Amino acid sequence: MKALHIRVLNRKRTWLLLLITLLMNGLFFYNNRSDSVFLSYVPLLSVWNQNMIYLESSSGAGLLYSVLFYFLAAMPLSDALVEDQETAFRNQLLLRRSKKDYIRTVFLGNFFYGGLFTVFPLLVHLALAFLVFPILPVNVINVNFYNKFLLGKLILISPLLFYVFRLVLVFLLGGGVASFALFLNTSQNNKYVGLFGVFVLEWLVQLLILLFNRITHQALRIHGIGELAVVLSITEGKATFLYTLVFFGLPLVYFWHLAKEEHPHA
Amino acid sequence: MKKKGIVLLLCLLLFSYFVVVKEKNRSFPKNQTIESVSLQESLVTEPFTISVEKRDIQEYVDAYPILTVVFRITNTSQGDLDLRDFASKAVLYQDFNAAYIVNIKRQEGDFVDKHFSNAYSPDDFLFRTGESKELALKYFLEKEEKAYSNQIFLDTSYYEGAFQKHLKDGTLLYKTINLGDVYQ
Repeated sequence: MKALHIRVLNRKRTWLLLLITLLMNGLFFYNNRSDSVFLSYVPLLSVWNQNMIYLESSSGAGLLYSVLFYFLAAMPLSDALVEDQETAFRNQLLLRRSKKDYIRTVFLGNFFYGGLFTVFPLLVHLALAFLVFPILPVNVINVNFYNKFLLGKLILISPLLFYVFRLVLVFLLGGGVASFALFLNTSQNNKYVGLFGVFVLEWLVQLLILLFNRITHQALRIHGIGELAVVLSITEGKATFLYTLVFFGLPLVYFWHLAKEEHPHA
Repeated sequence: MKKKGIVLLLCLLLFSYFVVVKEKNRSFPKNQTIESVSLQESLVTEPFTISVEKRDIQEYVDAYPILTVVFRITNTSQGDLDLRDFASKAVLYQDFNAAYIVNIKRQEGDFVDKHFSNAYSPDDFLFRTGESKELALKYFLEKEEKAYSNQIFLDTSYYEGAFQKHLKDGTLLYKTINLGDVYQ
């Protein structure tokens, strides 16, 4: 695992993460630089509803994040198995450890860094937002939340807890996207397909749902993984849960089988 | 030694960050008070007293229940009272979701006038000194019946003096009327 940490830190892509973080936050705070707070008005503008997570993709920076989310998740290590095979580094590693252990380490490392890379810009953003917007007491009237917000009532217990929950959720979803990208790269023996593949795949799924609804006159709606990471209101529970289960399950099954194979593809 | 230096620098940065955040929030309120009254209890604002005499669901529009709330408003100010902006200043909250009064018409024969049997005109919200009126105002409720916290929030401009007085002590003041379980 330590080798993976060093590998991520030494990659040029890590600098790209810093650049994206800087760009997104620069864009957000440039567009939301007014710090006028009218305390007698509701909703009350505070750090709890003047940040990129709350404003979702209605802010330019949020829109940028919703597109880059897939790229951020796939960036750190989703090509690790293919790269190791190309450089014959894998053979050296397998002399010292079992294949199962090697694949498990890469899978977990990829999940962790995928999650971390997607959370990092938001974490930096929240830290900066606390410097710009005031921390004010919240209640159902002044915070401008909606009943459909996933675990929205947490904000009444502790606003910080709500945002920690959001970051944990984004971390897990980012990890899921990174796993799927690792699966795409490894199964296609290509270093780049995973970078954009998950994004394209999610759009194709949404397109298929649209076509299905048109033909059958149904109103099927599934929140994509990227959508779950950006949007706060969740309206379609069961179908989304099933989709998420398949999305997370597919890479798990694939790598479980890959670890068992005598002569793996990757 | 190098590692220790980095840790020390990070701790210093973190400490400075918290100091700046604390300083930034020094002049902002840290507490809040929500004064709430129940059905048939009077809520005192600066120019009037208000109470909810009863509330019930009498009709549905596209399966959405409509709650009729009967307000009693008494002008307690020394002069005439203009509450023509009441529709946007008495908001029903069902947990986080806000609903506004729907049966106030803008003119005779408009959409509201046609759809609601007792549509009020803005002039019905003008009160002479000491005048008291009962107004049956309607709100759309959430379609999904749940155990929401249902309350009418009165805009802070109706108790601006008290609001500002609390603000000086670092407290935000809100006044609400608790409607209880509206689906009952």
